[in-house]
Amino acid sequence: MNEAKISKRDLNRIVLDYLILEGYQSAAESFAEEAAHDLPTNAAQQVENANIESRVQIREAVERGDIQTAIEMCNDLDPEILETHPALHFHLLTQSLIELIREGRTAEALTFARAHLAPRAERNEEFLKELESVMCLLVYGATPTGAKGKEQTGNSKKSVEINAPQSLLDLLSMQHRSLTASELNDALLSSMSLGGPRREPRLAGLMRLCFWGERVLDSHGIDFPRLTIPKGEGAGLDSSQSEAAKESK
Amino acid sequence: MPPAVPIPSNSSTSRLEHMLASFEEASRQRFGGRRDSGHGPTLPGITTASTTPPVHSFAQSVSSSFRPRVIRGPTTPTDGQPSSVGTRPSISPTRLRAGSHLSNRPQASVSALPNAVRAGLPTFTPPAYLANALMANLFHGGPPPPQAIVPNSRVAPDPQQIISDSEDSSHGHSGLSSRRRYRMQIPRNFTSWPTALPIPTQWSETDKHNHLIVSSNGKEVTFSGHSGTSETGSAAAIRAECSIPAACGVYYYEVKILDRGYRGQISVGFATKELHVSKLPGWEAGSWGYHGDDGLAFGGQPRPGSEFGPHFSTDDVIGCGINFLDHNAFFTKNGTLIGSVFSDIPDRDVYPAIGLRSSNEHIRANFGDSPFLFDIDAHVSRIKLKAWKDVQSHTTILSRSQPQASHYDISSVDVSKREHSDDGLARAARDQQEGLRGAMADLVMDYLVFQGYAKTAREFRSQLLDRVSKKPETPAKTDPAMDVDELPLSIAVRLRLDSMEHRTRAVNAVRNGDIDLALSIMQSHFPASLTHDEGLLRFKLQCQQFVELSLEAQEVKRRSDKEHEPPEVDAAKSGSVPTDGAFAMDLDDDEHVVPSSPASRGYVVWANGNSGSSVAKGKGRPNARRRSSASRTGGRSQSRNRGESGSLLSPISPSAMEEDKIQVIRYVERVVEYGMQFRKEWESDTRPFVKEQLRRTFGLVAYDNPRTDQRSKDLVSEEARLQLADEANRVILLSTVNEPMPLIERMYRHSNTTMQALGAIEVGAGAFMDVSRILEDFV
Repeated sequence: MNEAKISKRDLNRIVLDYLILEGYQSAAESFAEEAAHDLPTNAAQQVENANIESRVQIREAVERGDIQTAIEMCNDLDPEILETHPALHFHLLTQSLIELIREGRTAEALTFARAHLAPRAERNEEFLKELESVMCLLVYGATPTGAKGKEQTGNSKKSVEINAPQSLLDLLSMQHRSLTASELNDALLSSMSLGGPRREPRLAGLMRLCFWGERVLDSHGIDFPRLTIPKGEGAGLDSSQSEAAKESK
Repeated sequence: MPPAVPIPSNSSTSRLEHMLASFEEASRQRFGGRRDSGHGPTLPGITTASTTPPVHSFAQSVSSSFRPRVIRGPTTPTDGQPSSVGTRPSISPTRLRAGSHLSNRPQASVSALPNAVRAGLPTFTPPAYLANALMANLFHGGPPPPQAIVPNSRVAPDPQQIISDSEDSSHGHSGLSSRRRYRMQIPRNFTSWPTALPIPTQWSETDKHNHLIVSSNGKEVTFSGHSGTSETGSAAAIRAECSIPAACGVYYYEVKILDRGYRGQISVGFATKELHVSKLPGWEAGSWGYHGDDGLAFGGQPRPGSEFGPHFSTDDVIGCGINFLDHNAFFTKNGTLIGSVFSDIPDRDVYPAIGLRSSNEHIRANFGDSPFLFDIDAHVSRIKLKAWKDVQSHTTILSRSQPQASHYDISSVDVSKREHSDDGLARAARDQQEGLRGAMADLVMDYLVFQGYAKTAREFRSQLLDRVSKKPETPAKTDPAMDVDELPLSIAVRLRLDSMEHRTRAVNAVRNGDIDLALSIMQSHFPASLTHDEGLLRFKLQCQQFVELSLEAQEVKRRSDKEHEPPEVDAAKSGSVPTDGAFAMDLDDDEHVVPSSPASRGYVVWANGNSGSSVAKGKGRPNARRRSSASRTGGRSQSRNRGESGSLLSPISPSAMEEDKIQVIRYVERVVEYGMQFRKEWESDTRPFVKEQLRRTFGLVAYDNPRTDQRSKDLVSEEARLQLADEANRVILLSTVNEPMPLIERMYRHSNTTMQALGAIEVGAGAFMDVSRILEDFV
């Protein structure tokens, strides 16, 4: 068997790549400093160029529902990003609309849709469909008294409860915000020169490869020793998802 | 051992020179003479090159402890008792599941057997495109392995035995032994790792219809019978002499039609042993063929064939390829790809096969002996890239662990290929569903702690906790009042966090060459690390200490030589009293005394620090002290010079020179003394590595300039320190929390092993999954 060897330098690069892409600004900075002699010389430069902090803030803005701020920050960071990613721009605006509907600001929502979304949707079939389903939310209407609605929108300020089919309620979910945030983050990452269009850290790629291999072996009836990862503090990052996944089953 | 020279009470240049010379001479005789020039580099960190043979291939190491075995079917009594081979409880022993279809495999094909590599094989270099496969180094052309060698022993080797074997044979490098131990966990009840994978190089002389004649070189086949008349009767097929290992990923050969014969009913393709030799490949189950007379492709049924490509005839070159990743075949004609066809070609027991049917049909196969017409390399590269992308974009990692579980329960599923992986939302949906982030964060945390990046680890942890607590959907169960620092930490991480600061200090000390400090930290915080593997790390650190001391001594000597050149050097050499201008300087008593006193004080401090213990324990950096005192001295005499005469006098007084000489002597003394102690302690050690390293290290003093000398460069390089520092880190972790490598590294190796295990069980899916690709395109 050929043994795979990986140098400390390469391991460090994988870790730095993770810290940058996942947005751990201060950790990335101190890593570039602390591991300097086992990293490429441009490591610190890379950290600086990655605009980690702004990306994190933009992401957080979207996840809070503050789309307007996110769009402004995006334009500060990279004035062309929204122009070159029309779908992304549309999704951000749609998310804006969803936030208005969530807060029960129906009139504003209508104005907003007419001013910003309708013109874009006219030119694009996909966009039109997406816009339509968001507008459907309005049809079900804001029923502030509908106490029986299951959807709890968590931390929203003045959320209204809407009785609508699940597919529409998904639009109001926090997940949908996260989707939009991820899409935006991906676009920002791709626009940076981090070695080709990058969407996820190399570490994720390694995990995919690793667990793909285990699965294929498994499917051939080989009970192979598994690689296990002890749970630590990171588990908090996806606890909600795994629960969501369980529920959806 | 050179005799210890008593420290001279009065400086004497001649004695100094004599001592230096005799010491160097002695060490040259002692160490230099024995060394042959052909020594490879033996860095302290990655030794074993010349002493313990490094294990390059798993097969080698396994073959000593494992008999070649064959995967057994469910009927074979399996010794499936759980055996906790490793120290990581999570890694369970492998067991072949009952009902595995592996059981149906003919035994001979399970793996190539070690004796498949025989002397006197016709020289055949596997074609270049095969180098894309992970296991390419095992491919060799040649006859098939002997049929069905049944192992004598039905009992798997005792894993404990294996471990101790591996440890016994890996003296000299603890990192190696731990790596090996990890690998040793894998093949239990698995199979032997193949040591060689034969690839077809010629047609079989026996596995054919008797109407076919094979040329003496095994490449050409002629139909010698009468042309068949009925639609399916009287064909003649032939298979290559061995089947194609799926570990190729893609296999390809070309057939040149030398003569289309009477009717040109030629089929080229592949077949298992199922195909009867009286049928054309494609007509029967277990065979796949492209037919020249009608351009149809047949995938196991006499009819109907499917429209596939052009007809082919005399002088055409047809290429036949298998893609074991997609289980399809592809064909080329005269160097141009026709396309892919079929979807059910199995991973195992597939042979190149052709069939002829009318008189005078005559073909010649090229199994890679000569260049192919088709650019197979580019084709394989494309397949390889696509396979990689497929895995990356269609594998979804799920994590469904219970909140209380101590490990992530990770599995992967394929997302439907219909979903556009480039669609931002679909991808984001996948991200949402995935349990990737938590595990990644913990992998990174583990790494930072492992390598002792303390500051980064703290930063990362606080950012991480920040993020976890900010998570909008964090279940309400989490008590908001709970201090973030109280969040559960995995035990392993906590253990390592506790000792991280000490560990980092020790490792940095090694990195800076301050071995004493490193040893004392390790003594007080990680005593186990110094006795681990019979004190190997301690030995290496002491070697390094000797190196540092020697370098220091050499440095001091060189500087002393330099400061007094050119006339001073001559003077020193001859041992006579210097007669240059410096001596004519009007010196008062003060000046005689003052320059030497700070330096000697420095030495006394340093020597006191050592009293009662070995010289090695000396913490002083006399170097630095000496330098500062010397500069002070120089400054003073300069100012005095200026004040008094402003003449051409040299700023260096003879007494300063003397003082330097004393310094040099003392440094050399120290090296000698340390060396004696050091040697005494280790000379009874029988490990070849220790002996060799001892010799090499002492040889150091024999070289004029160890930093540039080929024989010693690697011992004294900065790199050697760094590697030793890494090793110290590893051994400390290994001896305290039994963790030989960071999880990310383990995962990297594990991925590679997994892919090769796929090859070993003859599954082609992982053939091109070269884990190092994840490192590509780094900027």
